[in-house]
Amino acid sequence: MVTIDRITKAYGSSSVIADLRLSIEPQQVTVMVGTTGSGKSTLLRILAGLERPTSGEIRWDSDHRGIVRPNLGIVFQEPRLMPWLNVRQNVEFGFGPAGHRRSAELADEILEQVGLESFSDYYPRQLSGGMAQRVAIARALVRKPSLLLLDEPFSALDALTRSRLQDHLMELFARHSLTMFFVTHDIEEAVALSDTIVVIKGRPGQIQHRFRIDLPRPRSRQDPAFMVWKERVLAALTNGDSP
Amino acid sequence: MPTSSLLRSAEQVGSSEPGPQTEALRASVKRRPRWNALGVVLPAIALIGWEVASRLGWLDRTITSSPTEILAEIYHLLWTGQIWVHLWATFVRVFSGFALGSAVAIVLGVVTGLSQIAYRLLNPTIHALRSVPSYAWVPLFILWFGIFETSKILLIALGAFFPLYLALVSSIRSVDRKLVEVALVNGFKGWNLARKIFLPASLPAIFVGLRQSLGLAWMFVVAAEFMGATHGLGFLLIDGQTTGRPATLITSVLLFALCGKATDGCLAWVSERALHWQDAYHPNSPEARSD
Ligand SMILES: Nc1ncnc2c1ncn2[C@@H]1O[C@H](COP(=O)(O)OP(=O)(O)O)[C@@H](O)[C@H]1O
Ligand SMILES: [Mg+2]
Repeated sequence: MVTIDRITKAYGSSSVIADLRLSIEPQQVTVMVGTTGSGKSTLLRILAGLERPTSGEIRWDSDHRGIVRPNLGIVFQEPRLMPWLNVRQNVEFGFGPAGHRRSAELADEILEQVGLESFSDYYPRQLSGGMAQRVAIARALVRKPSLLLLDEPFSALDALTRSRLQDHLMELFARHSLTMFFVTHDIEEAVALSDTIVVIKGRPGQIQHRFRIDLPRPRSRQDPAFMVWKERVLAALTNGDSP
Repeated sequence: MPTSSLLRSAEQVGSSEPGPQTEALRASVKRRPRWNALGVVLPAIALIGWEVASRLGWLDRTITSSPTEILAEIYHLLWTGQIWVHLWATFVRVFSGFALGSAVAIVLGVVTGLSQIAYRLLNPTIHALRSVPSYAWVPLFILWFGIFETSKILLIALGAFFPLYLALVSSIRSVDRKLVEVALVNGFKGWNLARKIFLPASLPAIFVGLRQSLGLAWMFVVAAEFMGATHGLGFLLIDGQTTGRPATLITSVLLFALCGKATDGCLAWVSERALHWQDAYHPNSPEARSD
């Protein structure tokens, strides 16, 4: 699907990520866990084309016509809704400048899937944090992205809303056969969502561990196997650090 | 639909999710400013005091006039139809100047706001021009453009130009990078980016700038009509002064205040509707909103 090949990013003399290699498998959830400042957002911004890597390259899957830059959807830590557009218009924004013949209809459809069908005429200032983030997810999904990038999308939400939205995201994942690259600092979230966890550490950030999480879905956080995975990822994230 | 039903039931549980408070939200959107009766008390007392004082001879009527004399003057102007001639002359000047000044401000402001090269090229010069005291232009404008309408409208346009230009440049340059990124990821570029992000994001500042520009247009029309005019509220001022009629003078001042307030009110009305989406803090008290 996507191969991240020896990506390095430096701002001036400060190196943020170094020699990073990773491939994102289709129709899977790849979660990158790392502490704040380890370069996760930087990598996501490079994938989204918002920044150029200092060296290395991103290789997208090619079909018989050659390289295709995939249709990307991205959800940031903040909802980043346009305050002057109502909920439906914000979702339609995801179709880009060309729009879509049936954009309003498709927006309403996806809003129904995120449970906001009765709020399509609301403005962002009238939404709670959780609702706003669901609109942001709807905006990213509306054009059926072949790769969905998420940068700590739930970290600003309270625990209850967060776990509800995690469950909900996984329903959408199954329903739309999504390919997701999800970045977080929350270990429990990583274990709950992922097929693969990669641990990014150090300065400059490098991938130091890789786990395949083969727990069946839906996952229970009380399941002993779930707890074991949490311990293992935590250990990977903290080993070598002084206590 | 399993997904949405799951979420709808979840909505009733979550404290941060919508519920009864959305009604209150809807109500708060519809809040209208209320008529502030208390605000009229002081002017009313002042008017009555003024009339009484001038009737009792405490005030020199040849200088201060009196409310009834002013009413008589307004009645006279209305009766003879002169008032419309003066109002029309001034309105045409204000609006031509305001339209010209703000049109140039929008073009230059957008270019300078969006392009770093234009900013570095133009902005210092425009700032230097701004620091020329406005009335210092008057003799120069008369010299260049004569004493007729051209120089008047250009002077008003000059006054109206700066507030909008400055508001536009600073607001475009401070548009939230986060929103711009969302647009970039969604394929917006160039003109589409300007239209869909930069324009709406700077709309609040544009309206503030427009209202300030309109205010300055009303200030500059006085200077412009002092340059020599045969009609207009500014002419009425000069006329009242040279013929020693304070009632005419004060009537003219009143008309200026009314016109300025009315046109600003129209812009405020348009602005409130265009910016209804803003997450602005409106204190609940009627005084605070009945400007
Ligand atoms: N535009 C920038 N200029 C300079 N340094 C930056 C810039 N963006 C990010 N950084 C630095 O890169 C590091 C990694 O940032 P980031 O990718 O946001 O980390 P994370 O998302 O993992 O918390 C931080 O230490 C930050 O200071
Ligand atoms: Mg980050």
